[in-house]
Amino acid sequence: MTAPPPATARNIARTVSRGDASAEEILRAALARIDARDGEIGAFTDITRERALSEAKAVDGARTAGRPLGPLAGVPYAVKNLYAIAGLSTRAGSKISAADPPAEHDALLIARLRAAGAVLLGALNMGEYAYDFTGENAHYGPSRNPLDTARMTGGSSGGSAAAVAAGFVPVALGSDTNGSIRVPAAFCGLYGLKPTYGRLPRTGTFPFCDSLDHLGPFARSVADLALVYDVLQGHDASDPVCARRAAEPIAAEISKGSDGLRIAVATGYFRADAEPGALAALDRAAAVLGVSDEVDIPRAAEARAAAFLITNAEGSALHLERLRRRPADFDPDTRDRFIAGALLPASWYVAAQRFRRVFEGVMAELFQRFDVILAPATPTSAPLLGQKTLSIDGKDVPLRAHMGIYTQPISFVGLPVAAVPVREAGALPHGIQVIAAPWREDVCLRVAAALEAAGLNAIDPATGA
Amino acid sequence: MSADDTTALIEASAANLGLTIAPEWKPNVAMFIEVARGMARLVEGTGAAASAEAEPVLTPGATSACSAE
Repeated sequence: MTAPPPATARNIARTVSRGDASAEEILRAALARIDARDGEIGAFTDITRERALSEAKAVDGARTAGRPLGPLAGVPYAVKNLYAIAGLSTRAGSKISAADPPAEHDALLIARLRAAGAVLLGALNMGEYAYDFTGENAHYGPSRNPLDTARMTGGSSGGSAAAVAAGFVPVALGSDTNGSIRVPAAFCGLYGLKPTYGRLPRTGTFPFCDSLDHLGPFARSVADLALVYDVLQGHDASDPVCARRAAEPIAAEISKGSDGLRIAVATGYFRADAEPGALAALDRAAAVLGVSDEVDIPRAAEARAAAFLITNAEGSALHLERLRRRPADFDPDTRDRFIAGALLPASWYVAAQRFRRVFEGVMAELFQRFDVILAPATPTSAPLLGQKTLSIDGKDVPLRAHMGIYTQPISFVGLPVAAVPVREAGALPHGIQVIAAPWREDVCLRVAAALEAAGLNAIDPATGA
Repeated sequence: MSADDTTALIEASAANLGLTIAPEWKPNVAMFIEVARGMARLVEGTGAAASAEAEPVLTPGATSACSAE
C-alpha cells in the first residue's frame, strides 16, 4: 500500500468493503503507529496482536468469499481497560484487579463491534477504578495528551482519548460516570458521546458507581461517533438498568442540521469558575449556531454535590473488601477518597438519591422549553501532568475535584451529551457539552455535526492532523 | 463539626468497618470527609431528603417536569 491508510472509521470500512485495502493492511498500519509512538503516549496497557490479526483475517476472508461485511469492516479500535476482553485480566486501572483471572468472555459492546467487523487492538490506560479526571495512574504511568505530551489527557478514560487523538485508532470505547468521556474528549480535541443512562448495556464491564455509570465512544468525527454508536445499541437484560428500548439508529439523522431546534446556552453555575478560554469556546459555538437564548439551570451546584456523594459512597462500598485487605496497593490519589467515602453517614447518600428525582424534574421542565442546552465541558484546557491546583479568578482550587464541575450535574440525571471540541489553530482545544432530553442522542449529534461543519475544530478528520 | 470530631469519626467508623488507615493517610481522608460534608450540606439544604422519593435506579424521562422552587 503506497497511500497512507484512511483515518476515519467510515472511510476504512468503505475501503475494506471495496477491496481497495485489506483489513490486515489497515491493522498492520495501525500497529506500526502504536509501536512507533505509544511508548511516548502511554495509551495502551495491553495490545492484542494475535487476536487482532485473527479478526482482520476473518474480515478479509469474508470479503473474498463474497459474504456481506459489517458496517465497521476492518476498523481498528481499542477499549478502556475496564471492559472485559476474553483472555485478559480486567485491570480497571488497578494493580489489584490486574491479578484477577483472565476474563472468559468479551464485554457485550466488544462482541457487538466484532460482529460489525471491527478489529480489537487492545486495552487502554485509565485512572484507577475510574475515580479520576486526570488520566494519571500511579501503577501504569499517565496517558499523555498527544497534542502536548507534557499535559494531561483527562480521565478517567485517558487512554481511550489518547489512542484516538494520537491516530492509533479512529474510534475507542470509554466510560463516563461523572465526566470520564467528556473531560478527556475536551482535553484531547475529540468528539465523545455519553448516551442516556440505560441506553447502552454495561454487561461485562468493571463497575464504578452503579447509579451513574455510562459507556460510550470517542471519535475524531461526528459521523464516526454515530456509526459506532448505532452498532452499540440494543437492550440486554444482563444489565438491570439497561432500558427495554429498541435500537434507534441515528447515523442518517446527523446531517439534518440544527435548524428548528430550540437551543440555549447555560449561564449562572456554568459560567462561574471557568477560565476565559473555556467560555470563549462556548460563546463561539453559540454564535455559529445563532443562539441567543440563555438558561440558568437551577440547583446545578446541588446536583453536582449529590453526584459527588453518590459516587463517593457507592464506589467505596464496591471496593470495601479491597480497602480492608490491600489498601497500600491502591493508587494513593484514589485510596484516600475511597476510604473517606466508606466512612460517610448513610443519610448523606440517601439525601443525594432523593434529590436526584427532584433535579430530574428540574431538567424535564427546561427541556419543555428547549431541545438543546450548550455548556462548557471543563473549566480549563488540558493542565500539565502532575499539576494539583488550578488558578481560577485569582484563587487556587483543587484540580482533581474541579475538572468535573460542569459534567457532573448532567450525568447525575442521565441526560445524553455530545462532547464537541472547539479549537483554534495552534492552541489547545476546549470542549463543550451539547445536552439534550433523555433518549435524544440524535439531537445531540445533529448539533455536534453542525458545529463540526462550521469548522470549530481546527483539525482535519481525514488526516487526524 | 471540629477537626477533632472528624478524627473521632474516622477512628470509630474505620474500626466499625474493619479498615486500617495508616497515620500518613489520615489527613487526606479527613480532608475528603470535610469536602463531602460540604456537599452534604448543599444537598440537605434542598429539603429533598424529607420530601422526595429516592431513585437509585434511574429511568430517564420517567419523572415529569417540576419547578425548582
